[in-house]
Amino acid sequence: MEYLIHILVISGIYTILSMSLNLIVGYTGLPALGHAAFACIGAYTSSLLALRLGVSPWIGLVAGVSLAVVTGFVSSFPAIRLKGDYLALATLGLNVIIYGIAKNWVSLTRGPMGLPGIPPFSIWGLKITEPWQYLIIVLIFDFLSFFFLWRIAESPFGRLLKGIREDEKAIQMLGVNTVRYKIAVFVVGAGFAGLAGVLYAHYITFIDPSSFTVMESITVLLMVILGGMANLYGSIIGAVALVVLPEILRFLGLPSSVAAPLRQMTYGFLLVVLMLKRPQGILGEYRIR
Amino acid sequence: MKILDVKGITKEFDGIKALRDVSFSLEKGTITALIGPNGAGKTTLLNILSGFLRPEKGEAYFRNKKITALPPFKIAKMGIARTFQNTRLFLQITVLENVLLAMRYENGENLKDVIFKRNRVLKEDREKVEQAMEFLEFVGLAEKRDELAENLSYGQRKLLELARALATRAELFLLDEPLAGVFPETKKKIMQLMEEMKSKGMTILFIEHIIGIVADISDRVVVLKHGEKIADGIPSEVFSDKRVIEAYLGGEYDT
Amino acid sequence: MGSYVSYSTFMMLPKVGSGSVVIALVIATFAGMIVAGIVGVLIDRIVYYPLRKRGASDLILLLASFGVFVLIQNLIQLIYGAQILTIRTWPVKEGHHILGAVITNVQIAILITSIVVMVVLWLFVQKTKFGKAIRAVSDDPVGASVVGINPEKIIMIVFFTGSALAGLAGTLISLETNIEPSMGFNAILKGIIAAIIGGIGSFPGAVLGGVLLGFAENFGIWKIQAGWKDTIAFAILILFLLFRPQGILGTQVRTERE
Repeated sequence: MEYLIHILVISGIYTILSMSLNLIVGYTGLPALGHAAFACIGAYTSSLLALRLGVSPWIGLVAGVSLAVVTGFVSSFPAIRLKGDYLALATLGLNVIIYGIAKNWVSLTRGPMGLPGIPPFSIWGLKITEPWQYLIIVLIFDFLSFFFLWRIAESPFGRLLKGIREDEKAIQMLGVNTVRYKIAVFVVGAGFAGLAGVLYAHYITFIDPSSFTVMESITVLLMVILGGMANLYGSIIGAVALVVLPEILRFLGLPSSVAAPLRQMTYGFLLVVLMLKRPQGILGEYRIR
Repeated sequence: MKILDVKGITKEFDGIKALRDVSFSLEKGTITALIGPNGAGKTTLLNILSGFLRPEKGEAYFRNKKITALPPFKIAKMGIARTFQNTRLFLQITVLENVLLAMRYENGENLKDVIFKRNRVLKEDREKVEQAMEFLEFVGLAEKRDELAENLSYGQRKLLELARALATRAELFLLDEPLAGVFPETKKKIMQLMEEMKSKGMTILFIEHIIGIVADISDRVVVLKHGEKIADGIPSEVFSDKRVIEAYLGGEYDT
Repeated sequence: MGSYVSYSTFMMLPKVGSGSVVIALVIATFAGMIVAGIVGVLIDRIVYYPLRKRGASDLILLLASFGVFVLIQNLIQLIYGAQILTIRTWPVKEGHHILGAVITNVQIAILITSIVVMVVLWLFVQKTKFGKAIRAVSDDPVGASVVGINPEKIIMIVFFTGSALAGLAGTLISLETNIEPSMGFNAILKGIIAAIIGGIGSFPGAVLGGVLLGFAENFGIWKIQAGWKDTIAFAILILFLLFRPQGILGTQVRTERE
């Protein structure tokens, strides 16, 4: 039972990641491949503040999200100047750079050894350590995230994003300053990813750079594609599906040396099959062409 | 009044002059045709006037304000709309949404309002939908409102693009071959629409190849060849001009 | 033409190439190259061809190639296990001292092989009929087919050659360092970065890019720790993407459709 709750918590955290990435990739059509980087910033900021300066995790959360937002703002610059795969590469590059910083700036982050013993959240003196307690927190944040992202996505603003996705030049000719909107989605998307990172850190109470690799970003992207681009419900489904799937493999009782690559292989396989047969995913309205 | 003033525009691509010192002006409320053999630089000129390209020399003024150094979205905001030769519609959204995207919102287009003032946004959305439907009815696409744009026929797409351009409430319309490749009924419809637009005070500059149409609806004709303006006047004058006839020798003479 | 996709697939193949850990080095190398080449063509037929046929965008191809890469990398891990392997050649000798640096026999062999391959490849693409056909298809597949070139055949040849060469590269690398399933990823990224820095569409550019990247990375770690290698590489990449996307010697920049 505890196991099930743990799965739900992890799914909940990934849901925030996939919904926020969907805003950037699915609605606005920007191939942003480095989403894990923002989560990394959120997680490390909050953890370091808590561990080194004894700052309350709630404040750490605000700090983590804020820093992620700033990173998102910076990341939007390549998005304005680059198109298509060049943008994909640049965002990938940012991911690698941030991962590299986390891994190599050992004096700050302890590098590959990671940060253990991250303090959990506490409400009025009650420490949130039990998974079921954390589940409640995560679900609340999930609802909040969905609420915000829904209002952005299903509105004239969201319609504009889709316009940018469909044909940026044409929508400029309708009087839209696309730069503003690209910056906006990166900032919002990064902020929520940072939130997910913070939630992750204070739940697992240990983080290290390996949770924020390019592979992670690709996994989140896969969740978005699988669930359906430009469909927030789809992102929820995608997140749950891709968290649950590898866990099912675990039940087959395979040794971890087999299970680990097998799990990645399913991701790879899924990606190829989706591209070949159904790029719009399960619920998507939008097919990458 | 002169709504558009083009002065000495020269545009070079890798040493090849696509446009050479082109100058002309447009009076408000007129339809002007921009014609010339292929490669004469007509689309390039439209690109410059809509802000996607910058000329090497020369300027253009819209209502006496210089537009040649402005980005496209600013030019659009000033009241210039443009359509494209092969239609650039937003294909994976509906016809109605295509038109809605042309209409700038008071409330719906910034984050704060969308998140915190949703009721106001929804109200404005309803109003905009009504207005959008008017434009769709004007071009005759009202029943297709919830159809994805990619499912429209070529002719319908051209009409949709026109509706979208109209929805920007522009004063000057730059139309790149609005009649190319459509069936005769749609051709007639578009020509009708252009005349109606003119009667409402809008100004049109359109690129076209078919001489007969040009002669029928244009008030003035500007002829480009190899980037240079070789004629500029009323249709009957231009089409009896020897140089113009020469330029079209061997080309379509579709009257 | 989708040089991206090509790179992504190619670079995963070093693992395939290096998988053959055998005594007779030359035979092993060729075996590795052939396996790599065949796998490359298979992937093209099974995955990329259907996508090309339906006119899929570059982004889809890129994602698909990612998927393929993940599949193969993990397949290799499954088959060979995750530990690090080494190709044992001859006993470790001390290297020659040249110009104040030490260079071993093995490294000399690698260097010579690389140079020979590059020269041969360049000549192939520039001078032979095949080479011209390849460039024709790259520029304009439809135009090429109209003059009697079969684009699909050319693409298959390109995939085979490219993959085989990647396999060769993998084998060469593994003579110097260790083999592990994840080596492909690094190789891909470096390959792409080198191509962009040097200039896409320009062969000497790719070479130049590779050399420059190698230098930059290693000079970089001279002063800073080794772990920062990747970070430096990507930082350079981003700078190039923002300010000089066609690279140093590049010819085609992605043109904006009007």
